[in-house]
Amino acid sequence: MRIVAVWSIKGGVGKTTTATSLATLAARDGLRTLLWDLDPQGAASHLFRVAPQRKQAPRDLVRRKVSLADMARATDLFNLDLLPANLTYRELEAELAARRQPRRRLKEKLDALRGIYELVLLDCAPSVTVVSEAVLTAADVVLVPLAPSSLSLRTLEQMKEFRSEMDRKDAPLVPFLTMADLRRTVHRENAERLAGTGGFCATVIPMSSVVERAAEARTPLPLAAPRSPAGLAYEALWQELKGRLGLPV
Amino acid sequence: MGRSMTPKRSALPDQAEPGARTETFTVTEGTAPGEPAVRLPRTLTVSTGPAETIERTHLDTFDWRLWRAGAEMVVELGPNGRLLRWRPAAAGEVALEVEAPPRRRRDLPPGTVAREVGPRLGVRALLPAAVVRMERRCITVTDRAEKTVARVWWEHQTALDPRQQDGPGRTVVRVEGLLGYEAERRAVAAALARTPGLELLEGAGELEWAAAARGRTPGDYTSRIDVPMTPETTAAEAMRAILAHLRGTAAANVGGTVGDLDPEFLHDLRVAVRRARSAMGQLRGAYEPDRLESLREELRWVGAITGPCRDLDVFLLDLEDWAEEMGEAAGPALAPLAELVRQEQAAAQRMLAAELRSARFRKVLAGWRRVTARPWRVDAVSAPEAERDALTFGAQRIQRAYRRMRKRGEGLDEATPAAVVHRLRIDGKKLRYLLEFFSAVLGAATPGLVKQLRALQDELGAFNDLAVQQARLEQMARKLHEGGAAGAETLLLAGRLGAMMEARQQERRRAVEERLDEFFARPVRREVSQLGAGADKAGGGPSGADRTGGGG
Repeated sequence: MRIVAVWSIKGGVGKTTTATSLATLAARDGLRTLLWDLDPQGAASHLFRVAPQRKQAPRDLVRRKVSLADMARATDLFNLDLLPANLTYRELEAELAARRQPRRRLKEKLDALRGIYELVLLDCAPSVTVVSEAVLTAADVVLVPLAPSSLSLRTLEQMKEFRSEMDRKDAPLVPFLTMADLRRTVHRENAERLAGTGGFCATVIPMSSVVERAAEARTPLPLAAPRSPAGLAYEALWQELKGRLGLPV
Repeated sequence: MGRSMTPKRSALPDQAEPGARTETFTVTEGTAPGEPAVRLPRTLTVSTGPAETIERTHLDTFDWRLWRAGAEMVVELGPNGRLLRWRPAAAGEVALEVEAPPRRRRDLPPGTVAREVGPRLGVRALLPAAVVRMERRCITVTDRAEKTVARVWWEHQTALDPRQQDGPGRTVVRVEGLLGYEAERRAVAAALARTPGLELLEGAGELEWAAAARGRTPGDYTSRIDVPMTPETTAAEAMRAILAHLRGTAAANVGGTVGDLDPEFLHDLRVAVRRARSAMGQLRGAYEPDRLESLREELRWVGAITGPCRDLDVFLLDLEDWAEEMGEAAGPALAPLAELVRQEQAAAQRMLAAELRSARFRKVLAGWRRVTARPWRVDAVSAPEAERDALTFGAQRIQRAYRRMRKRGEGLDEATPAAVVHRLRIDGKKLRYLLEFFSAVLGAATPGLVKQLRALQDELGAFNDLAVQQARLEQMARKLHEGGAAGAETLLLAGRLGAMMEARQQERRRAVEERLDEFFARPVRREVSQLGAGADKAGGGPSGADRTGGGG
């Protein structure tokens, strides 16, 4: 099982689109996939129309006795389950902070899913919190979506700093460019300079209105617009990541 | 198959995927599809999809490897293409679109399915175990967020026979749950249970129901020997039962061998014939020689006509292993060799199929059936041990076979010719066959012997395979060279492979020596000598045959 976090300390960079698209493509390829919505905004949960089970609370996510597998729910897609979130999941931060070894706790909970899932994607909230630390501890790879602007590169540096403070160097940060408007000179130049170098993925996800339209229709992008430039770019990103993640597909 | 054996299957968990249970109802009165009188909680909405025709094929190996493991593989062919659904016992379902139903291990979709199914399959093919054609509708149950929480399938099913002709039909209603929506599934199932004309279907599932239309029952074939007998069964009756059982195994594998469905059919056919010949050789005295004279001759012929194709099957499998072992670069160099072997195998297969379709072969099977169909009335003069009990008779033959192995194997060392090691392996096979023939009466009396023999045979088998492979490789390389079809690369690679096998063979020989020490050690010897002790010896004392050895 591989655990892949999609995380950025910046909002609105396409984390949820990335997590839901990759989860959809992994499931299509026959991987038993779990998407964990860790963002109290619950955008991924909304997209898949999955609400948390009524009897379960954010506390259950960190309690040792409760299995994450029992909290997961099937999406309408084959091979894809979801651990949904809603606004009450903002309490997760406090619940986790109140535990001993909060960073390890999430990892233990995820490790128990081995044998059930082959890929777990974590759709993280845009923040630097105890939950983010726990995610960095649990993940094998951290995907970092970045807009091709100079400010974004600064964000990446900050995230690297945060990670090195945690002394967690074995979960590589894998940045890739999203929301690229290639008509803009800065975006174009940054894309040409960064894509495929210095650990950046070669794939660049273009800015596209189909992303919003897919979200509006509550359909994952690879199903809503598979042949659109953004749809094709996510397909390419998935193919690129499969190799990098050593996924059995 | 019509064979009396207990199908063995791993215990199934209550539900393969938590929360994703399926319940099936049969329709006892005419209830039109799409009009289920389902009363559900107000939070749920029901919508009926269009009618569609699909064909659902349950795939398994001839010897039910997936079913025995508590797993299931189906391919659904519908208007939107082919969907493969793999349901292992201990993990959730994996479903994905495929271009064609997978047949051999190499056809499995890469990833999860190949990793989980491939090792179970080995060289066996996935064959249709049951085919169901149906017209169906999906009734989707959604919650307020329009999320699907359960599906109800209304299916008018027809089981197809092997010629794809219509067999029996039925109408079923299946409730398919989704993980995390158990309460909703229960509500739907409860509503259906209250619906007039629907009855919960318990027991046999779709596979069992539809396999019957193909004359199959899950678990109806295994290559394992399971001959019914009791300690009081006479030696003659035991012999007849063994031959009858082996005839069933042989006959079951003819179709698959002729159709070249996978190499295991021919292998199992050959093993059944070899076991039968071995039984005739080792259980002399239990039957009148005249009774089985013609069968013995004919089975020798079957052994001879099936040999060449089997050798080439094995060679092809070896080539795949070698290609894997020598790395990708070896592929092109091995290609001319592989091509030659494939051509020869295809020719051998055609000849074999013709022989197995011949009147002579049909007569062999008919004669085999005739001679084993009814209990024998045996003449005590020409079959002096016929009336002995199976336990003491079997025990003595096992003791004799073990003594023969000791005689040949003790003192085996580096200088022992390969031919002697090979004969030791044949002796070991005969002993193993005897243990299998009489397993019903021996029970677990010889755990040490069985364990040590298996370990020894593994090493002897590997040693022998390497010798055979080297000879074959040399022969094929020479043929290629003479035909001018092999480049220097191929011949060099053949040389490297040969050297590798030679080194491995030496390793195996040392392993054989170690295994032999264990095999002839006191605990195993004691087990063998105590075999059959306490059984009624009145049925006849040790015969001359016990001391003189012999065998087939």
